[in-house]
Amino acid sequence: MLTISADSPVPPYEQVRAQLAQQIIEQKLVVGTRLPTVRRLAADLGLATNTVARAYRELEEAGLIETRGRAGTFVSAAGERSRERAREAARQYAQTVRSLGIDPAEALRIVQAALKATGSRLPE
Amino acid sequence: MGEMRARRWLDRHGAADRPTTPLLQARLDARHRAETLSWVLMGVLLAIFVVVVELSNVPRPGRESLYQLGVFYVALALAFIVGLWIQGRRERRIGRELTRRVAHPQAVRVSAVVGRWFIVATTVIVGAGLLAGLAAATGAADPRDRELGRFMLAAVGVFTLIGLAGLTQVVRRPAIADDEASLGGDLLLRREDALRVVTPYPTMLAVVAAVQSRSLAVLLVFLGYALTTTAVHFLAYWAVTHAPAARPVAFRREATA
Repeated sequence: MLTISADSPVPPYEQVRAQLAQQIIEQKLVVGTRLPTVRRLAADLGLATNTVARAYRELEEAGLIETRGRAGTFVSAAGERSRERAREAARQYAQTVRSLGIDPAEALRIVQAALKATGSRLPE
Repeated sequence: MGEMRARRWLDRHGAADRPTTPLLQARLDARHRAETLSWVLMGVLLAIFVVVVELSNVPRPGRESLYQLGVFYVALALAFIVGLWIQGRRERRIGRELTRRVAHPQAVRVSAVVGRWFIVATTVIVGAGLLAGLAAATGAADPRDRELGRFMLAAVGVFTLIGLAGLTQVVRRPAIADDEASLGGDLLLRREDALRVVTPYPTMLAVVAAVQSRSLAVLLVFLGYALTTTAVHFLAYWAVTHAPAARPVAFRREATA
């Protein structure tokens, strides 16, 4: 379910984008799921079509969804492949850390520092 | 009044333990007003039709009751479509007043919106109607029975077109919902509307055509069609309004407990 609140300080396009991204990452929307058309979702949520189009554009740029011409917009396999690569890299990192005898808490701090260095925002 | 209407609607859909919401009340009120307007419009159209028929004084011996009934049902169906359009406008206004809106994150197929039973009912009413009309139009020995067959073919065609116009409105209408339960309710309201769109007018015409037929075979074809479509439409209506399996997840007993 997608929820849009007019009272929220978050812009509507970001509400749509964030909720769709979360549902795709949590695999509530599995690869290949067809999303509603921009026009349909905009009508259902009472938003302008440009607002939903912007959310879709950003999700597409993030590789989470793909547009297949007139067939519609689908949850992309590219996002799933990216996550699989990230999981594989994490497995290799965990093995390296273990073989070097580094403490797990320190290993996590190293990862956090590396992520910060790339400009990523870390959860609180 | 709105509260009672909403309560009855929830009871009918197996959600007696769910509280009525201002949104559901407003939607059911909008539908009630639109339905009332449809009936008034239908009455006006009928009155105009009767006056025109009386004034024109065109002699059509033997078949006038069937033709008049056909026109009457077309007027009824068109009045209903106008009512749906008015209802859609009112519901959109209700939707604009909501500070919170919810929608399905995935595309919902038309078959999922209108429900499996709608498809079964439509297929039988249209498909069997065309077959019955074709059988009488080409197979009957009496020219008047062949005329009845052609009439049935035309009637099924006209009502299919009117039904498609109504179905387009039902399917394209935006979801008016502010939480998961009202999103499920929106689907049920849509299914009820879809089923009203395929009210089997050709069935009623088939009964009159059967009475006017001159051969036993044509009478049996039309009566068989009328009985089959009545049974299918009744089952479809029951499934949409009462069968737990046809309900959206939010309206199933385990979800409301």
